[in-house]
Amino acid sequence: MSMRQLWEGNDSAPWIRHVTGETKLLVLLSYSVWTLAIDNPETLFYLFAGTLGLHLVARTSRSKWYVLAILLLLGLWGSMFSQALFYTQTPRTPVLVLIRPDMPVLGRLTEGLFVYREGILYGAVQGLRSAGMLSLGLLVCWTSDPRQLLQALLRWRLPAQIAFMLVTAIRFLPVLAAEAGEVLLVLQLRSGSRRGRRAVLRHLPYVIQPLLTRCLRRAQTLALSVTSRGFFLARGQRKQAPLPRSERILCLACLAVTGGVVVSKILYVLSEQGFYWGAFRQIYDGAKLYL
Amino acid sequence: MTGLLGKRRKLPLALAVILPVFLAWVCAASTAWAAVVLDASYPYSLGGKEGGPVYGGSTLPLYLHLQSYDVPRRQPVSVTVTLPAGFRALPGTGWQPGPGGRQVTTHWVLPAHFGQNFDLLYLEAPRGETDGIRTIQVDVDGGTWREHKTLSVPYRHDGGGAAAERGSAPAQGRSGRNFSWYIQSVTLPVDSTGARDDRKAERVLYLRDMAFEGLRNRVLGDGATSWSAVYNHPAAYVSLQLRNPQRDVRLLRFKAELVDRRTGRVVPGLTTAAKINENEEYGWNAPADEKNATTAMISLNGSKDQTVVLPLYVDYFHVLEGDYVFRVTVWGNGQEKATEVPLRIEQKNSLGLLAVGIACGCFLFVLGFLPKLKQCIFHVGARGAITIALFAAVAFGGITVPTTVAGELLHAMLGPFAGFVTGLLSGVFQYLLLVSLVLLYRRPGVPGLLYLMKFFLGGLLFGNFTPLGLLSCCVTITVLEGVFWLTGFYGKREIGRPYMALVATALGLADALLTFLNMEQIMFFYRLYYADWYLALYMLVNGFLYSSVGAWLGYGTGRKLRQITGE
Repeated sequence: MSMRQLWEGNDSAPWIRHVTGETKLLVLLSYSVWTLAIDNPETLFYLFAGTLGLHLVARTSRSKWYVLAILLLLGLWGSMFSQALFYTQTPRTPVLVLIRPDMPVLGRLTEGLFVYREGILYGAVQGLRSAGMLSLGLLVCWTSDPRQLLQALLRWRLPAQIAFMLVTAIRFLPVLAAEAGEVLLVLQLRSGSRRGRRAVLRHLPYVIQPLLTRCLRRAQTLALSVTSRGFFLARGQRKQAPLPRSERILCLACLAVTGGVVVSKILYVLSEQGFYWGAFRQIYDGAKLYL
Repeated sequence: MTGLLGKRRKLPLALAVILPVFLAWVCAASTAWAAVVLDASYPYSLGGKEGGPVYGGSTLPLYLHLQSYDVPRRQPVSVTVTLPAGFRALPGTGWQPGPGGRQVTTHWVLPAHFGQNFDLLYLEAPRGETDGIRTIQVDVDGGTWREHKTLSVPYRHDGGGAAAERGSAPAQGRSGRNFSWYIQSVTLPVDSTGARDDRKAERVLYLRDMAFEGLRNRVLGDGATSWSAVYNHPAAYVSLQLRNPQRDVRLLRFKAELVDRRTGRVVPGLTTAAKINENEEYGWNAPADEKNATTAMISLNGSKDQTVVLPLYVDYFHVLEGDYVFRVTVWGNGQEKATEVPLRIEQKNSLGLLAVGIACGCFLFVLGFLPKLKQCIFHVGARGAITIALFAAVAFGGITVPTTVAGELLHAMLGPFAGFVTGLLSGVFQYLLLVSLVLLYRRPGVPGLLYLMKFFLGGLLFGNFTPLGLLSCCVTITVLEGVFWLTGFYGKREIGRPYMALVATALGLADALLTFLNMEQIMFFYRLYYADWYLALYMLVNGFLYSSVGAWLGYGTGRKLRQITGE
């Protein structure tokens, strides 16, 4: 499966492809807020598992599952790795010494670098946040056409000129990639050595200037075309069809839950700082148990 | 009649005789009824354990108490204590030693009617004498009356543990009679009962954040903050293990200070319980001369081992985070013992919250800046807008895609240090594109449009629509627009090399700030931890170094691109 096929959203279940871009973006944003607000490991895990469940329901293809699994595992491992080194809460148990505190220069600079057992677990739990967001983000990406999401942004009053620029950028992404490939190929062919003909990293810095030059030339041509058609100054927006009722209910529910989670969390954090009101006791309990 | 008159003449005479007699009788009776009660105790113990043996070399107090009743007027008395052979009264307590040193005398004044006089006289027992009963005599001489008391004291030449203790005592306390008690160890933080919580790091003091104390009290309806209540609440407790092999009983004074590790000077941080916002009130343990120190009184109770738990009060508005030397000084009756331990002060700071606050401010700025961005599109025209879009596409394809795909792999292999590799793209390449673009179109809003495009592309193609991504984008736009505006980049006619070097440095510094703000936001939102040195290194390498280099390379690329466009 090519990179392009991987990022196209035509192999998922039809129902999710028909969900409007606004709903998808709103669910994605709400989900991001939930994961950032929630601290409870169990709730975080259920939220993450929920996104995997959505992938199942959306019938994500096997190749995309592989990609998803690799990205999730790498992300989680990275989070565990960094937190194992920098975990600062107590108690913490060093299981490996990377830099001894008495080592010259580095030891004094870092005051020792250790791998902490508790940090590994902590990193795994906290990594669930980014894992959940990545999983849902990829679901939205794989089940939506960029135009669908752009349409949603236009509904949310994104200026038409910015939308036009976005469309231009998306439209020319594959073209630019192909041009970068061509420039690279030319550089490889022009290379005097055999090794140079195979090297990619060596030639990459020299790709930028020709690529940007092509961008400028293309911009000139496109600008002429766009201006002559008066497209660039178009201000009017077509009237959009309203959201289906089920999606409206879903969006409202998402907003309500997001508002509830944020308010509960803020109240709970305030209560920890001494801003305690007895009337909110049940909210404090709920926040402590589930958030 | 005459008889009656004669009787009348005799009456004043009789009164003149009887009244003085009566008054004299009253005076005599009142003097006779006046009483003085002398109470003496040795060895006296504040803990109530009196009458125990006196060990050789120990310093114990003799308690004297004189209670007077119905004394018609103030009356001076002299109190004399006759000590057994070898015993010595400690100087400097208002007592004058007599010839030979066996007697010590002081003068008291009994107040009229009722009064109490008392004092503690510290007596040092001789060493190496034979065990037995010693006698101490106390005499009070009031001129017309005398009071006398004899105390029998069992003397023992050694406390049973003193000899062993001498082996482990601190070197400075061994010589002569200076060695009696010493500080064995200092433990902190402990709770009010002296118990240590193993989950808390030793010798690290976590202080609560007082930034919102005023607001908190007002919101809760408590009105203005009572700072004296805040200051009277101990920030932590310190446990002092004292060794007292001679079983001394005495009152000692305690002082805890924070000392700068480099200069050795006492620095602000600790205070007394009585400090208030006017800084004038003094409590029972806070004499006026004690600044930047927590003070208290300690009672040595005669035990060989004694643990004292003392509250530590912190001056929240002057204390600074950092590593200090915690100096404890205990003194009394001419002896002074000090010990020092390292201490780290950590304050729960609000840097993450501050970073999020700044980011929210930047978000509002970008919202207000949106019409300007739209205006910028019209100013640069279709060609400029398409160029920005294509540069954003190059930035997305050359930075976002590789850092998302390969970055995860690098992150798994190098952990947090992967950022130094991916930073070559997000630092060098990003700033190369930015500077070459703004050299082509020098207008406010061009950097903002580039970053906005990049953010939307990430959202539309990778589903990266997150609050953190949005806030980071807004912070970047605000800071970079600010740097270009402050350096006068948009209004400059010619961009020469020296000027560009300045701009590249400014961009590097700005990116270091951006790196710091973004890392703080990541730590705040994702509850992650990063060491300070890592943050500093990341700011230096990824923030300053890569970005400055990228900006400088972008200058060269931008100049060539300008030649191509013929402008």
